[in-house]
Amino acid sequence: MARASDDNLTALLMALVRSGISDAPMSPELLPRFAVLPDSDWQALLSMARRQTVTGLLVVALEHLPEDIPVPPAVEFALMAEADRLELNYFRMSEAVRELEADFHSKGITPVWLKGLECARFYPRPELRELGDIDLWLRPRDFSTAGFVSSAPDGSYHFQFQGFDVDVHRDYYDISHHEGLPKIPSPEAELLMLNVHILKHACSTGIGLRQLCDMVQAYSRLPYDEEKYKAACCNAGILRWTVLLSSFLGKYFGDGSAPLFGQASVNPAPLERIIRRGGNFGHHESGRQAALSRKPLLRKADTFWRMLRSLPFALRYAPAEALYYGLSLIRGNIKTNK
Amino acid sequence: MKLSGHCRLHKSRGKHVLIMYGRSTHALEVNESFAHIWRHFSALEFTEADVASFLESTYNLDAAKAEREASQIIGLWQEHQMII
Repeated sequence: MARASDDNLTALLMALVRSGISDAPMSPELLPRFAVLPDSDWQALLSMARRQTVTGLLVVALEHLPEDIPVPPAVEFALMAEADRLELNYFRMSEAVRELEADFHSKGITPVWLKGLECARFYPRPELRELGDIDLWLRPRDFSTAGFVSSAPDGSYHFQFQGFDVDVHRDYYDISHHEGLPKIPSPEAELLMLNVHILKHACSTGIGLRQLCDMVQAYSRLPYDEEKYKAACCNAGILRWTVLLSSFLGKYFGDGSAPLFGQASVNPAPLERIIRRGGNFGHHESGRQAALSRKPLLRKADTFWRMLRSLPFALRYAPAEALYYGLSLIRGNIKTNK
Repeated sequence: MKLSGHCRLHKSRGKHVLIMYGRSTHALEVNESFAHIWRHFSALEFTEADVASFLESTYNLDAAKAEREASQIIGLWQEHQMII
């Protein structure tokens, strides 16, 4: 049988992702397509899931697939090994965060944990959500109390703890202005933070499916006030972007999975292209891996070039941020290189 | 002796699979009995006699047969470096 087209494979991958995200069987009308899928297409789906760092969702989806749907043993076994890796990492990171939190509290510091492990709690099987760094935000007074000195271009402080990279952020929101934004912490604040995190990466090197899955789960699990959240998006100047984001989520996860604030959904193709092109944070785009292994100046030049390339997208969907991300990166690099 | 922490048993879609991690990763499909025995001993320190005793009581084997089966099982585990 001829290899499925990319669009076909995307549809099949998203069916598995939806099943994984909900920890439930997929719609039965899709099963006949999986029943005749050749081994090569299953391998392609595994490869796509790796690029998008959503292999944990495929692990869950496979558990719900009827036993009469053949899955190549190599794919099944690879996903089992993935599950082991993800679970081990989750439990190690959870332990590391517990120790960090205790340490912060002993100094009178209250961290607000971001992304990663916090997003994992939205999933039915949190231990299968891919994790990278430990991210947290400290209020300015806590940043000083901790004795942290910003070392990164974006003003954050980095250190290593029990084998994990820890990023301590000065800014909760990756956005140019912070007036009229929700109180931290709150469900609306967390949604906005996740939202602009996706925007920031979509406007630079790229973003993958993992963070989009986090977003749809967050919308589903957080008890947020839609009017307050809409107001926050308006104040942040990202309403148009948020409608694009919601249109993407609506297309792949169902109507109502993300708020449109009474607006019509739009064609999500611009965001689809970004996700497909580079996968996880754009790392799988041609040339990016090579750039990341080069000297810092060449690495930063590659990042900057990709930002410039994304400028039309950024200007269309979040014009206030279009220049902010590039300028703040330049400003930050000048400061850290002094 | 103990079962190696470098092996993890999975059940998925009616199959039991032991994933073995070492220099390279291997997968071994096993049957229900193997999986049951593995799960019982996975967190324990045990002897061959413990395995024989478990087989005798779980599968209604006579003592001699249980000892022979236990010896074979331990041998298999040792052969595949599943025991530490």
